[in-house]
Amino acid sequence: MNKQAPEILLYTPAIALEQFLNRRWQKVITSAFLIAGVSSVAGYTYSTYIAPSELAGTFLGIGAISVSFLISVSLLRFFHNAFYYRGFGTNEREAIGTTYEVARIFYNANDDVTGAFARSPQGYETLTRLGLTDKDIETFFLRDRTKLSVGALPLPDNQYITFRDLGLVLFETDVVYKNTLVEAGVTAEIYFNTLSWVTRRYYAYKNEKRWWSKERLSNLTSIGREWSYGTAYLLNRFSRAIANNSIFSNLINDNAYASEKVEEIEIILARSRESNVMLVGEPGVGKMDILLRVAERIKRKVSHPNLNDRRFIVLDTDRILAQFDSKQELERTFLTMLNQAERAGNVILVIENIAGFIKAGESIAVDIVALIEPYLGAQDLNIVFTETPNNYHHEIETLSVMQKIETVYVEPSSLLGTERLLQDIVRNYEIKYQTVLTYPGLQAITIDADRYVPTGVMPDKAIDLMVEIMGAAGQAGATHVTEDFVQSYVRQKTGIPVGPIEDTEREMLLGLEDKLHERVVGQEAAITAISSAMRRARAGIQDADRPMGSFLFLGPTGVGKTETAKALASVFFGSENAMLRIDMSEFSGFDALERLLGNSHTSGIISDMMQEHQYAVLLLDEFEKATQGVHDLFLQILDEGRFTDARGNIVNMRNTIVIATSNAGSQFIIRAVQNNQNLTDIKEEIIREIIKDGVYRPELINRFDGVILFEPLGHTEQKTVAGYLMKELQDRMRAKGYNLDFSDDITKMVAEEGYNPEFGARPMRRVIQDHIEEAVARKIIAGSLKKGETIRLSAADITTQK
Amino acid sequence: MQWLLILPGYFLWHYTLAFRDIWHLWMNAFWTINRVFSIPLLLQTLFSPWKRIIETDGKKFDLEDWAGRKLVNLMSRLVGAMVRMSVIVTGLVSMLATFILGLCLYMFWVVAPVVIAILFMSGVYLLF
Repeated sequence: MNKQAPEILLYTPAIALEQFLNRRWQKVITSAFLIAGVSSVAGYTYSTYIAPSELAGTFLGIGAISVSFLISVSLLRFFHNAFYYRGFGTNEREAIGTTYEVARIFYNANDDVTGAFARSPQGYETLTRLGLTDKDIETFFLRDRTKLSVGALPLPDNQYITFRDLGLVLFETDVVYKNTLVEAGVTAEIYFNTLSWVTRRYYAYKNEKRWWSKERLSNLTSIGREWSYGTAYLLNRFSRAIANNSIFSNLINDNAYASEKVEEIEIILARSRESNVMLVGEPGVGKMDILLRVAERIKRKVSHPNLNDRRFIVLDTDRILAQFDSKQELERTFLTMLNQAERAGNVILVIENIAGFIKAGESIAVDIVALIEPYLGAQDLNIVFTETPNNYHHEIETLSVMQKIETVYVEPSSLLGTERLLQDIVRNYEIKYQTVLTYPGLQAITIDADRYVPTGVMPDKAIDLMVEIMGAAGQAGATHVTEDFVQSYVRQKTGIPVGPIEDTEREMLLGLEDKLHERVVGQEAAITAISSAMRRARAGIQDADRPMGSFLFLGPTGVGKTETAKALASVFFGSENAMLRIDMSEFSGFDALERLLGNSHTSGIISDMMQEHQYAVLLLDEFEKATQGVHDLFLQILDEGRFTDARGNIVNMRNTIVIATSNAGSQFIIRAVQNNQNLTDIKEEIIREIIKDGVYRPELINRFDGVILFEPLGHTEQKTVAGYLMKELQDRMRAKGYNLDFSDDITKMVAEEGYNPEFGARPMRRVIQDHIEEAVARKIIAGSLKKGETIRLSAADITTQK
Repeated sequence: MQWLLILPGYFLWHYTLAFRDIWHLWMNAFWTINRVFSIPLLLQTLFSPWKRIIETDGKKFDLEDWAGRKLVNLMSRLVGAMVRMSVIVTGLVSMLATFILGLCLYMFWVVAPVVIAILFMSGVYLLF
């Protein structure tokens, strides 16, 4: 018997009351009796003093009865609230006990706690958010299972049991329940996060209703606090109050990251001097939301005591600049504003995008920085600036006044933080679109927004994606937004094959080797290594924070390295155009990095490429010729799957396959093949040699998913390549209206003439061009060949230099 | 039959825990009034200039100007004190009212079941 079981007794009368008359009806009935009572009194007054009649007694009687009921129901509601909110404030909590919700589940348990849990509003919501349908839940009830009684439940001792605690205990104890969830794809982590979500949601709901709590009452505006401070009249005309937006109003108190930043800002503002803040973060990371939270905390008096009564005023720089466009006017106005703000004694002035304001000032020869500087040391004035990282680094960081301003960086929110945020704001959209967002769906939105939405930062882009998806689900009439729904939406929107692998793709992945071999001759080991890496990536077991695949292709020229990359692009991404190529020999100069990453005026080559096609093969030809700096850049890309360009934009490369090709080590490979050595056996040795020669550093080589050795082509392969090339010529001629028929000895000749160990199969095209195409051209020009006719070629028709 | 438990459970609460619950609400009410009317702050700054409106002395001394400024500053302080006083008094009156209402609530609470019964029965009597 656990210690919490007796709790039911305590709650029983209140729960019985709720089941007899639920809270909504309690409210309705109260209102009804109130109306009846007031009307009766009005009726009584009328029939006694205004138009005396015999009805007075009747009105009085109805009134008395109504009031007696009104009092009764009100007392019962008070009674019910006392238990409904019991233990709600932590300071009112007993050491051992349960919340009302848990007690209600126990009350309804009838020796089947899991059943009562699943049927309770919170339990049902949890299961729904886990992605279970009503049918799944029904099936669970029908399963053969051992039912748990309340007393037998192994509840933790000496603890206050919340809905979440109960859910966890059931997951651990009730095997059938756990299996049902596991079969539906629910992991322990998903289960825990979903339970937490539902618990928090009910907590917030109750908190909203409990208007008489100190926490809620403290939101009332105090009278007279402002009277001891001055009014910044001019400033008030060109400013706005710090705005409430949808994100903040739902940010909850336990968002750890935001709390940390809030605290950091409060500490700086509370200093006696030079208490100014520069908030640096991408647009959309929630800079103003954090300030708004500071404002809220100041209002609730839970912030630093030095900040009591301070108020945020956001300067409307656009309006100031629009209205005062001459140097004198702008200087005078701005100074007056700053003066008033200081005189007021309780102002925290917020100037957004300060770099823009400074620039606009410069354009009419106003030195904004010089105007602000004297006020940065003021005791009764705090100034908070905001700026994006890029502008900050380029325009602001080096200013000498920065010594009086403390910089606080606001990073994009983490995946978990974003998940929390979405959980808190999704309810409005659920109501609007009549659909329920499941937890796996929410997780998918967060991850997909992070991975596949190239522009914007978290949590902004996740919120946008969520709003879009909820709208789409509403239109499609979907009752639940599941992981599949999210992924198919993202797939449709971005063209990126996220989510469950479909049949055609499955076939493609399983037969990837064959597909690649349709275009690449030989190179068995290379093709196998690449194919398995690609399968790992699509199965989702690969590290998500790195590019989709990364390979270093080593080997002599003309053996199929580029062709393999092309084949991969065409098989995997549907088109040869999905191969982006950068000739790294062009990036050997001092400006190499700047050209790749851009500068403050122009964007970089690689960032441009990635903005357009991130789902692509990026081929880095002759990688060894690039500078050390470029190698370091790719070291980071291979490690993190992204980089920051010169403008401070984070560029995502996690959906890109990076292939670097290199001739380094070719001599070893050729020699090894000539000596009939197996390449796999001497791979390590070759890599060691390359490192020893200083071509690549070991840490760079180790970052690649695979170092793939391409071997020189053997005789059979040479002939196959020649065959392919001849077939291409045949196709080209057919397109022009001629049929080409050639004998086997031609292919053999092309292979022999066109192959050399140094350039591989590359000269074959030249041989075909110089001899075969030449011969054909002669015939066409001489008029001996007409459209529709067939030309037959054999080795005898061809003259070579040999 | 669980609903039979409602009334005994209710009465047990009504004459035991409810007194503590009312006490909490009562104290919350005092706390809120004190906060809304900011009585301690207004007392501390009772004679501070109204919204910090003061005239500062100029560089050159001029008796007339000086007297004028002193007068303005005095006015600012007096206006401030008057307005603050009125708020403080309103606050104190609210507190007193809350105190009396609380006492009344306690007294009513004890006899509430009887009041309900009397109201109901007199209603029935008046009607029939």
